[in-house]
Amino acid sequence: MNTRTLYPLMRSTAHAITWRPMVLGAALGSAVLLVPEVLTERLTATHLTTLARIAAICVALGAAFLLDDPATRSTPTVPTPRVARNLVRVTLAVPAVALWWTLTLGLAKTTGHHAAAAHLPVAALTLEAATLLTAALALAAIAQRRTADGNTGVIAAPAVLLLAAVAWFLPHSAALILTPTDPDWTASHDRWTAVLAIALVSFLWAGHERERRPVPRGWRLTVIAVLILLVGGGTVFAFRSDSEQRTAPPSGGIDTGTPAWRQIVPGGACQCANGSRFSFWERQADPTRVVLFLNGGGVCWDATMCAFTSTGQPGENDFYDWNDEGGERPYDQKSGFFDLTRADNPFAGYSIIYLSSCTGDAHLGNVAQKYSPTLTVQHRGYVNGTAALDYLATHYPNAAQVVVIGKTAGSIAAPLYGGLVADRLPHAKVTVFGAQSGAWPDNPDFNAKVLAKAWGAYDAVPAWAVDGLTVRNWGIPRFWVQAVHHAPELVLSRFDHAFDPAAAVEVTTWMPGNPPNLLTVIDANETAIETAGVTLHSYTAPGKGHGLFEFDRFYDLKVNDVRLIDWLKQLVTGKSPSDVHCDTCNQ
Amino acid sequence: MTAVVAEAPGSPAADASAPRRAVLALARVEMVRMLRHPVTVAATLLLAGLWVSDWFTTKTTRYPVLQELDHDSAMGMMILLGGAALIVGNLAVLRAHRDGTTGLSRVLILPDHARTLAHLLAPLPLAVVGAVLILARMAVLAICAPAAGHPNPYELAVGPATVLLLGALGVLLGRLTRSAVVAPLALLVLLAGLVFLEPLTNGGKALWLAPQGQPTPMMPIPVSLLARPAAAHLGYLLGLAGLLATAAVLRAGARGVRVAGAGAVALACTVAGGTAQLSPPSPAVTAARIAVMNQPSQHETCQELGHVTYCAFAEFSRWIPAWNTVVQAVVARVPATARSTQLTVRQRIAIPAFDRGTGPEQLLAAWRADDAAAGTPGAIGIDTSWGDSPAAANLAGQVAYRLVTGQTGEAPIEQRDGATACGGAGVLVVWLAGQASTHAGTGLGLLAEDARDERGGVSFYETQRFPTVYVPTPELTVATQALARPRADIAARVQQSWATLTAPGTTAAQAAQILGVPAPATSTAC
Repeated sequence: MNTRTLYPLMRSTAHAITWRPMVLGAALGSAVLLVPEVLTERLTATHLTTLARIAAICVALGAAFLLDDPATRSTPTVPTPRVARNLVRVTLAVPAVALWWTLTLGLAKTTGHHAAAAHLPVAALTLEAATLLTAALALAAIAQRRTADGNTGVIAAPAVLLLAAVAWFLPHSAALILTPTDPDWTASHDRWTAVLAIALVSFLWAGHERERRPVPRGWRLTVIAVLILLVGGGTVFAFRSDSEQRTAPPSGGIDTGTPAWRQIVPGGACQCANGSRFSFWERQADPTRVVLFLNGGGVCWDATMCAFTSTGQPGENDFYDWNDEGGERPYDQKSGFFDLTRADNPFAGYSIIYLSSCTGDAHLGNVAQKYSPTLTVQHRGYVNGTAALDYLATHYPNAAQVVVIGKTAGSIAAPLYGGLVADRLPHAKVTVFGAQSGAWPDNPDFNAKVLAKAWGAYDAVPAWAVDGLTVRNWGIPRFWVQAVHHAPELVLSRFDHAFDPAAAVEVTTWMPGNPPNLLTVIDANETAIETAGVTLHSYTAPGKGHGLFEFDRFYDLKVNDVRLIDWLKQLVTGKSPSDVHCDTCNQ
Repeated sequence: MTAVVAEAPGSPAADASAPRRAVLALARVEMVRMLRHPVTVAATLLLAGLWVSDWFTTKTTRYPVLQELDHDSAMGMMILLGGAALIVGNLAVLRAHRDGTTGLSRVLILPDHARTLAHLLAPLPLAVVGAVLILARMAVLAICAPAAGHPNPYELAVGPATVLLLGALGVLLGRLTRSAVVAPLALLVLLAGLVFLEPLTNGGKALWLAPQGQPTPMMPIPVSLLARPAAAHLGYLLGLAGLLATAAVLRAGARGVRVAGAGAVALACTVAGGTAQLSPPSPAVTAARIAVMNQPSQHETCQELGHVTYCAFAEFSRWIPAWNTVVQAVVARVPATARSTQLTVRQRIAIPAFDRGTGPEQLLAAWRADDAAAGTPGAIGIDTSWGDSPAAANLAGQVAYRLVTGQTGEAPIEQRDGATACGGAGVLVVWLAGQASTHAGTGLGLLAEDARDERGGVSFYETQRFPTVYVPTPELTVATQALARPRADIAARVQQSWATLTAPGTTAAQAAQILGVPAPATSTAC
């Protein structure tokens, strides 16, 4: 065969191929992987890997019909050898399959908020898919030798399934189908490469006809050389890119096999609202850079709000989490801030102490409050929080940088905790980033009734935090001022959505205006703080959004052309970012 | 000639039983062809091979829990034999098209729907083969191993039923489309369902609508607590098979009262089975689950072997001798004077889904109260799976801690990580556990590698959920080195210096010196 015959041959072959099985297989393969991903967020990396494998088998089944040729009986007389005709068919189909695979995996990686999807071992799966495809073609080529009518697919397709079944049930020492976290993952892919090589050789060998002029030697050598290059190059690429993925900063996912979150039970006087065990979480990474993440968890100050009833999770009512079982676990959150494998995450590589509130007092209280004869609530958030701080100081004595991040109600106490970190780690640069509590008002009644009386916070916090202030005028915006008076090196910053309806819903009655204008309250608070001589870097985004850290919006959010994560990067690298404030805030 | 053949099917003169005989004759041929098809043979061998290799490679198979393995066997059968029935049945229906003989069948005595009926009957012998295989597996496990519990016959019958169901699906697909790729793809959809339906439904009741049904609980439990609607599920699957079969013969042109009747029966079966399987377990079962989990002592029988009391659920009592071997291997290394502690080993189950209201702390507290009420305070916990090496190490470690310290591994409720054994006591606990058997030694290594404890060291677990005893890294290192030395030498040193080793002030370094192994590089503050 030469190039003059190649083009007409390709055209007529493209017409002759029965494309339907391939198209069906590809369509079903995409559906198998993508539909479950859209329907549920509970899929782990193992589930997705298995589904991707099934998708690859789907298209391999389609490919088993690629060499079907009803005109087989007439072809022994044509001058083009069978192996060449097979190669032409493969050349036509492979780009389409490659395109399909790229699109399907690309969609799978980007669909939904699956952290597991982002960690799909693409290269290794591609090697497996290529092997399955080649094996299907080799089986079809072998079937060509055994049939006279050209129906190769009906033999090859069941054979592909049988091979897959055998592969699935191989003993562990020779296993091909492993989960990505298995220590033998790489070794199993050496075996995949071997199977790929065997399948390629079988395909070429089976295409060879016994009683016919052999394929020109030069041609054959070229094909073999190209194939060797492709297999070798592909395998090297597969392992390089997957090992890069493995050495990337670990994420919080327990199922991704990376250094995981560890639960710390400090014991002592620590407890949750109902007197049960309190714990916090640690993720060990860089010992010199640490994030103290003060999670929300809700607040309460009367018998209704504080009741130990469960409306969602056990230990969680509509207002707050009252035991250790309620509240979000860090390892359950895999996007946004918690996707710690993303290169653009400003906190990738940081060690993290994750502290969720189970006391309804925004990490501030230290009192046992009897709200009714049957309801005594342990508001011990300050005790719990300082236990976590002590742990941080003991286990990260060399921390050069500590970032205190507060989320929703957890951020109320963020500046005070910034001051407490500075006390314990005098050499560390401490940055505070409080998010979504800018609208909590400075209202004397609220200060006295909730902060001081219900939670006992005024008496709990150190003297510097209330220095010069009475019970009635120690309000939340003052926390920022007191903190920086105590520790002038603190870098303070806050974030709010202008009209976040959920951020301060509990305290609406103490805000000016009916209904209050949230943005006005946020801006007034900031003005009050800065008037007291404090530099408070702020980022105010438009709209009514509530979530931030838990979503990938964390990376996309951009106001006045400044991306939030760029702003945060500046902040933590010691540059002072300018305040960002939405122009049209009610979008 | 033409006239004769054309008249034959409907000819009143023909023998009334002729069509039925012809269907049966054709069915017989198709049955044999299906059984002898390479795909069927390979799938059957693979299934049998898998079950045989399981016996040699999966250690827990040597102590089988039959109420778990019945479901497991049925699922293996669905994938392999059911898959074979689906593909081979489909290929058989498409054979005429493939060979270009569709036109010929028009002149044959049997109409299309009768041929379809024969194809639908073809998987029956394969289902029988499946039933024989699954019964043989259960029989071998029940006779050759100390099996716990008993299989549910309906659960076992689900395996062959899925063979019929998928066989019918293959025939229907062959009647709907001539493409031979559709049946294998349908099998892949079924497999994908096995993967994603559980996360999709969150393991809920809706899973019963899929062929696989709900998975068995996370740890084996007594038969009386299982309450799986296996009979209703079997009815549902057979009803579905009937519906698919009816659809196939309808598609092939069959009409009439009998087809409608069969369809109605199948539909009734599907609906009845489908709704019955979705009803929640009875309040009595729910109450029994909570009671057995919280107060195991009231549902167990105890027996004493060599001064150790073993309490197990009745159907698990055949494992007691195996537990005793491990326990006595630890006791034997303890000087007679130090064996005064009364040991009780108690079987427990802990499945959060059974009692959403009870948290881990409450469960531990309930167990303690239960032990106190039963007069066996500080009983050592063991769960409902046995045979793998970590299970042996967990039991040996807890027994060793009890003998070395005289205390149970019960830490204050706030500390869920269990009691810490350090210094000489910690070294002894690990050494005693590791020497109990080669199995326990392997298990100790696995427990130490377990990523659950990132402090390093090793934790011994009760019921796989609650760590009861923790030994830090330096102690583990010393003990591991001691385990590598000749056993008799170390045993003699242990006998001689028992009092010193178990004294509270003895450090890991001192223990290392007594045992004649290198001292650890670091030490633990206890």
